[in-house]
Amino acid sequence: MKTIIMPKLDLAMDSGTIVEWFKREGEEVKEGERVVSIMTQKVTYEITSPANGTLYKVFASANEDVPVGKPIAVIMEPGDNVADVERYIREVMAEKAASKVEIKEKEEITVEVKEELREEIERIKISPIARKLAEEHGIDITKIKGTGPGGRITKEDVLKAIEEFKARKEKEKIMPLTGIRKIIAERMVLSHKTIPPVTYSMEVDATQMIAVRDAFKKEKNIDLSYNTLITRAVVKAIIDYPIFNSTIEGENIRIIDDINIGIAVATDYGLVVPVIHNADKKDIMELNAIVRDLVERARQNKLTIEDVSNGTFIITNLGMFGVDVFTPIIFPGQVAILGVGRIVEKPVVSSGQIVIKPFMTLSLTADHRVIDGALAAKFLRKIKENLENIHLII
Amino acid sequence: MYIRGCTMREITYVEALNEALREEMRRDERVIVMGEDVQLGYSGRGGLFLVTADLMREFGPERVRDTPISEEGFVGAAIGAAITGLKPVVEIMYADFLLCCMNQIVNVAAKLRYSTGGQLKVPIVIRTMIGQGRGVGSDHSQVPIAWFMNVPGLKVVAPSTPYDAKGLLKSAIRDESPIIFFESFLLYRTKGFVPTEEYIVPLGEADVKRKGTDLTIVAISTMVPCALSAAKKLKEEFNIDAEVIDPRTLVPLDKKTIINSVMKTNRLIIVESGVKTCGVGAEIASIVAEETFDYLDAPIKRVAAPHIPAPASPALEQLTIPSENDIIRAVREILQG
Repeated sequence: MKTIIMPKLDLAMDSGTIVEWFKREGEEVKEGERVVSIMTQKVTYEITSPANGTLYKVFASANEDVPVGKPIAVIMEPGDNVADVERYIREVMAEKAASKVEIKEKEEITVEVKEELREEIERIKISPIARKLAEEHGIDITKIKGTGPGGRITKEDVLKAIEEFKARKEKEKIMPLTGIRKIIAERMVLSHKTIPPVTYSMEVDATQMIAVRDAFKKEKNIDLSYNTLITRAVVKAIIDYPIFNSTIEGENIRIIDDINIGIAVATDYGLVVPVIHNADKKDIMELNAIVRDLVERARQNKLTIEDVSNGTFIITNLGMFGVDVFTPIIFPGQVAILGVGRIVEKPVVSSGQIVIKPFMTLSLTADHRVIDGALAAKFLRKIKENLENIHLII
Repeated sequence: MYIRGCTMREITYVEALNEALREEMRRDERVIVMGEDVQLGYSGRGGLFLVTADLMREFGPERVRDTPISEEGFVGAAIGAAITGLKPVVEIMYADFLLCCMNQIVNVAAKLRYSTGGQLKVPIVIRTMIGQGRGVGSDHSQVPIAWFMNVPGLKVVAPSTPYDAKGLLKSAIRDESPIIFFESFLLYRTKGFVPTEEYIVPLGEADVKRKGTDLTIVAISTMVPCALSAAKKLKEEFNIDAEVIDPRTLVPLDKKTIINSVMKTNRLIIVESGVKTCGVGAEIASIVAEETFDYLDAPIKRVAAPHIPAPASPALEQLTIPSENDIIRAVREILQG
């Protein structure tokens, strides 16, 4: 008998979500064959079978969250004693049932609103099969009115709710809040609840950026991306203002030595943020190669755990979609984020003359617990200066 | 009822039992009958209710033996006969009298095969009658089926139709274990179709007496006809489609048939005429709760006698035996509130 447990893929990982089972219970598996894909807060990962045998029991279904180190499946190997395997399964199930209660208790401490909800769920009268069906189909039992004796929710009530849900889903295109969507939702709510954000915006003359890009194209036939240039400008600004590369730990603000710049990438499956580690130690060519590689792999959903770990500051660029100014949300654990708008030509007065110049707007959101307005303005101005003189820092 | 290749005729539960005994005695000369008044009795033909009618005339007093009113003594004698090669079918007139020979049944018959490592077998059938429904008092009206289910080493049979009674008694006589075979006064005069040809009903197989989709009623012994008429009314008056299962053998119990039915209907009611506390229903409810909890859509309900000694007054006694209406009420309670 071999057990598949939820692996710990990085230090910060405390649980993973089941994405998809490639094998069903009772199906044969070969050692090394993929069995299940899981998702952490950062990546999707495929787990392979540790042995030849049968996928005997699966402990978690799709979209279920499993703590690190907890079993998610049992592989029965030839020669295994069924009774032993069954006993093991019973133990795991019992432990799982017990831990569900624990998790509920934990929630009670952290989120007070949930306390009321939890009591309500416990007070709901529902038959075992109705509860099981509701869980399987992701039906919220608090929304079902029971028609059984004493208002008990019956199988029939749940079946009706499932039908209604299906009909509504087709009509209104309801998508379940699961997987990466759910993680983004949780992170963003956490940010909004815990961080007092202020967004500052500033226009940047993009003339030099364009000139540098053209020169690289012409002379070296290299496509230098704007993200590369902006990363460079941000890194140089962080070296001058290291407080923007910090994190709040309890009562302390800790400035982080490594400058790891995350680049937000929109993909078909949602937002991901691959990280350029030690961006301050890379020259412009390296930086450009890394940025292009990360963006490409993000779009193909081929990022590794390392690729998305330990970011310290994020750049999010909506310029290509025509956005000028927006208010980015800080990723929990960081203290600021830079939003980048589109480059657009504008008439400006320069030395008494009206001239046309390309401009770009930067939107910096900073955590006011750590960074006051004047400091944010100075940092933003530093980035602006760096970008307007980008030829001097590459 | 129709069984392929069989000629059917309608006979009573008692006649079916009588046929089973006669056929088995003809088939195997080791089969003997013992008990109080089994030779002639009040009727002059054999047995208080004619289950052993005319057996003495055919097989003689050697094989059909009257005993003194001493259950412990003649059950002990029958156990000895069984150990030494005979196949005794013992009649305990009322199930209440099983208490007089409890030691022989529980400590001797049920245990010998185990304690001798299989060297001794006790192929004995103890036929007895649930006297309920006669107004004969609390010591002649008990339904002690569950007591014997609790004893490892015994098999417990309780048929509800003439067909099952005959087929199961024949199987019981051919079995090698000690068997307590519960008959019921209230079933004795009921009629049913029984093939002319020989057949047996194997031990340990439940029978779905009526197919249904809305709930499962497991009915024991006397309560099977009652459950069937309740099911009919439920369908006609409330459009509730009940499945009625008769386990027929309580040990070994056909769990599979019951569980499959509950998995289909999601609801279970157990009906027995014995007291509710620690009854047959308690055991079946526990099994279903343990093994198929996730399929239940309503609380399991037991319909059974109240926890009191049976009244001798026939009018009061009737109130203690579950009725068609009691079953209907219980069903509507879990279905409609």
